Amino acid sequence: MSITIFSAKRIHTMNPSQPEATHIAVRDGRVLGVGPLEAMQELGDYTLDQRFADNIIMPGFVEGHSHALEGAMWNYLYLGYFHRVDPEGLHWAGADSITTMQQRLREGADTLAPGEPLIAWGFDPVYFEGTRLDRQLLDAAVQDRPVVVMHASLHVMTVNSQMLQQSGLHQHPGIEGIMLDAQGQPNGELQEMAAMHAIFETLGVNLFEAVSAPSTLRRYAQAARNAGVTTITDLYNPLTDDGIAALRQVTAEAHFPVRLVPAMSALAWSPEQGVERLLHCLELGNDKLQFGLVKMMTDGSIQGYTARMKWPYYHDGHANGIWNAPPEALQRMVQVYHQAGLQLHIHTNGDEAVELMLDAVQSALDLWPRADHRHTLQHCQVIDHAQLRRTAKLGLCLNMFANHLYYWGDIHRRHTLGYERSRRLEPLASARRLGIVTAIHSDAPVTPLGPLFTAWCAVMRESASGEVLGVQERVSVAQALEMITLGAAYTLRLDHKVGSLEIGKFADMAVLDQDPLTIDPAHLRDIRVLATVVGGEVHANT
Amino acid sequence: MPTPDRVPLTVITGFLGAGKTTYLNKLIRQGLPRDSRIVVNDFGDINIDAELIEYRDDRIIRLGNGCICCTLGGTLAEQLAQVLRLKPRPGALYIEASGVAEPARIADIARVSRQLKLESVLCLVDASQISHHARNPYTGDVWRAQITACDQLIINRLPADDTLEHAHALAMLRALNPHAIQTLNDSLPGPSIVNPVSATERLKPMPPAPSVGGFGWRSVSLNYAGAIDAARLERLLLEYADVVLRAKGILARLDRDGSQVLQLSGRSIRWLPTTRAAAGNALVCIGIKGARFDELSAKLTQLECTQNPVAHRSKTAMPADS
Repeated sequence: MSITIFSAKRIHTMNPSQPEATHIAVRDGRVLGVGPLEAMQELGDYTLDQRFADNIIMPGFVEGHSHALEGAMWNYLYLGYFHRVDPEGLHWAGADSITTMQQRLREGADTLAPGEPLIAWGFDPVYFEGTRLDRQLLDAAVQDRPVVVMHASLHVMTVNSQMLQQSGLHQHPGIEGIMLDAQGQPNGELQEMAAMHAIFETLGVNLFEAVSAPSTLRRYAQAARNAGVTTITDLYNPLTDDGIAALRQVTAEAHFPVRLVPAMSALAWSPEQGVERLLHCLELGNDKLQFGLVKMMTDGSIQGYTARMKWPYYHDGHANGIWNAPPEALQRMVQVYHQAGLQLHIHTNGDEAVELMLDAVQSALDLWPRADHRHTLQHCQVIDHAQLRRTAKLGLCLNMFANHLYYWGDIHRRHTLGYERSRRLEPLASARRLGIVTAIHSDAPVTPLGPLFTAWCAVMRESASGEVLGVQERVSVAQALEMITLGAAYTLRLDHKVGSLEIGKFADMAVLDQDPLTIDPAHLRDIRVLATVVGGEVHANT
Repeated sequence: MPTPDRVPLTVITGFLGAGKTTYLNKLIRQGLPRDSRIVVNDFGDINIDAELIEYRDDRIIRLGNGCICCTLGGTLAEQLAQVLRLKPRPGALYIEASGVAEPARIADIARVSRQLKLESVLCLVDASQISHHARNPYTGDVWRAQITACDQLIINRLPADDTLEHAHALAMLRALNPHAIQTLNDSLPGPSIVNPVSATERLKPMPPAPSVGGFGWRSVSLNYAGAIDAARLERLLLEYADVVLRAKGILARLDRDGSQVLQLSGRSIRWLPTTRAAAGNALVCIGIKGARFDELSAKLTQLECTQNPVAHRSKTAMPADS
């Protein structure tokens, strides 16, 4: 059994007994020892690998809430405001003006057969205040074929006139979700499922059909590697037989660069079927595939006005959001999965959804007391302090959507939440003060995958316009780094295997060009990931 | 692109327990055309009668994603588009919407679709639950939206027609939706529904127990004056295991000296010794709200009556919906 020792300028281990070191020894894919080189002489013959000698090594990042859909989005044209790297490592400049966007659309159309629809994604209206992307702007770019531009939130799309015509939507100005121009005619922006349905019906394909295909999973894994992520969730996987087979196939491939943690979407099955399916899956995992999580969706999103809010509801007076399933059914699911000993990850965006789920978990615990259940509230963007105290008492974990502070912070300040509630959007410092185990996430593809950016959001709390949302809820860099490693690993019940560099754990690392603990925190997001190491195998970033 | 004949779409809404499935079964039994498809967007419990099981494979399409538009893929909008791509295309579509769906949004799908036409939006209402639903902080708004958006209201479990409750129920529904056709549903099964709680009326309501937060749950607390028949209690709890989530108590048993602690969890019942003084002789039972749980409550109350006819209950309580 050969031993490899990696040297580094500094290793931040996240092991409280030895936070810093310079060398890490690896055998059989696991950490054999961390410490100074002198102490490693006792381990036996080794190969010293110095390629990271000038770099910083951290535990591989753990993304506790993202979706394999990230791997499928790149089948379509990227149209986001920000520079983004695709899974193949290709850099896509941000489309930061309407002109650039139109140019990108023209280029995209040129690669397609005549008449074939052009589908693009990632457009974020937040950065084009004053200009509304409408059918005219799209027509000016491409009018000889249908064009569909999905917005970054995935809740809205804008289409060109050709698409409107083909779907017949131009005849329906009176329907909710079909947005109108000053003359009362559809302007091309579509929201809500009625309008979306008409587009899917006309295109004749589902845009996300390939979401559980092996090729999508491979691309997803590459996207993770690029961001320094070595353990990643797919937090809404129906776990169909085909889907399970694909997960097992890719994770058994040599050099697969990430550990996958799918969470079964509870709504895809009756609770009893779901429990049976998941218990069956527990036997099917391997070192790079961990089953056992259940994902429930309680409400919608804040910016889509579908999150369920407590009084006084939305700041701008918009009607309260909607439940994704009847509250009774959701509470029953909590009971059934809790009783079966499984771990729940529960999507709650608004504070009323939080309340419902705190009640549900409390009832479940009254009936079936269970230590260390680690049920986790996901997103949990709007949660008040009384609810945080209950969260702590009930032993729940939190995984908050820190990227929202940046991407939608300004919208929340002005439209959805107002001043006071936007101070405690993602109240990370309060969660830490109460001793709640907390993680932070990107929800990719909703926002780009990138734990160091997510950590930057948690530390700086700056919106895209530069406003700081609640300085009291800023966390330290050290705390943020824990949230993207050990904290997230704990919420996945994998903290005994990943999330820190300690003897016996998987040798999973992220190699960085700068030290996050000495750099100015404002530049945390600029640190580059040079490589990951997964089970001792190096995956260099290209 | 030529537009084929449009497929009629009927949206069936109503809360859990309002009778949607019963209604759907009735439709099926009356004979839906072979090429109809039924899209079910509810979670868990569609009870298609055994003799109609073929429909489940053939014509019933289950949605597994909830009500929110654009959760990541697999939404109602996408799945419905997929159903319309079936060969041959369905002749008629029925959507049994989730209890919290906004029917207006689903109806909009038919309004803008080039392949669908909106046939009807039905809303089933359990008249005995009107005040409960109207006041519910979590779902009162959706409940009203469903009634407002329908063109046919089908009313179940209406109180007897000479009562004030009867008049109130109809007036409230009429106020919410003056235009809908109101139909009283006569198809519901018999005596146990008509007179569901006579046995439990002896139980007096108490404020909700704070530890049982969910409103889908009900708990009953009983204080027995004398010792009880443990074997009979066990049989009862197991007979109703489908609605009992948990029971515990400190009870005096006819077949033993002193008190014992009873624990029921899952389907297992355990009796454990206790050193606690049996000041109370108490049983708490928590389960899923509904007629069967009420039945069990009544039988638990009678357990003591038949054992010990002269005993009086020191305190008997059944918390109201919490």
